[in-house]
Amino acid sequence: MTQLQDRFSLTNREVTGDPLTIMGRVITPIIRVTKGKVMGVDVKMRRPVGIEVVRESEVKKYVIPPATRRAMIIAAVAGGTLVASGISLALYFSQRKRA
Amino acid sequence: MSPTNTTTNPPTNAGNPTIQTETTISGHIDHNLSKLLDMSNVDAVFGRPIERGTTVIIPCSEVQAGLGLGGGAGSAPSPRMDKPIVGGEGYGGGGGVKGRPVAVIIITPDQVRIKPIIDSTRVILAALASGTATMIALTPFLRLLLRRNMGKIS
Repeated sequence: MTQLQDRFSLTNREVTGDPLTIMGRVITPIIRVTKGKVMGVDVKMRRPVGIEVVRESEVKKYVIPPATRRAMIIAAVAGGTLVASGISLALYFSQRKRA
Repeated sequence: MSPTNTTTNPPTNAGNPTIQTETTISGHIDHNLSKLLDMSNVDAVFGRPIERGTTVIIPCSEVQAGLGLGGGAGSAPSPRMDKPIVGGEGYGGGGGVKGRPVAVIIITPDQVRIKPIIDSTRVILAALASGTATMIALTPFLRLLLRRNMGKIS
């Protein structure tokens, strides 16, 4: 277990960037920093997760959605289903032909 | 707009030489990785605002960096007694940085909008990989069914 922990480790934390003033709004970026170790290779990732917009004492949070990841999951499910249904249909029609 | 992050110097450890070497290597990896990311990170995650008329655009990207170092040393007794013990050591490493646009923040006087960017190559590859995996998984069942059908016909 300790060896496994030594080989794989992953830590996640969110940091805020320097605020930026644009058109009367104070925009603070929020970044997720993932630091890990996979099979002796140190990996570090930085991904923008959202922004915090302050305008006239009104605070609004905007989330940056993981669009590619969602699309990949949908495409993977659709691809698998499509192939499976294609095989089923081919089998069904081949049986009908023989019958 | 770089995140509030500090780069630390690699730790030094006086004492056991093996631990010292490992700690130094690990410290160097951490140090170099931080430097590598900081180098690639300046205005990379949240880019510099681009102003066009009354619209301001901020590009957002994700940055990934990896670095691996390894090494080893060994010795073997010499076949001849008068010769000293032979041995050697070697070290190697590699790393890389990857960046990809994730979204664009569009700021107008009226509103703030976030427009996500979809990487179509990755989406198509995921669909193809899933389809191939399904086909591979279903092939034994398909063969079994076809064989059974052949038996029924004959």
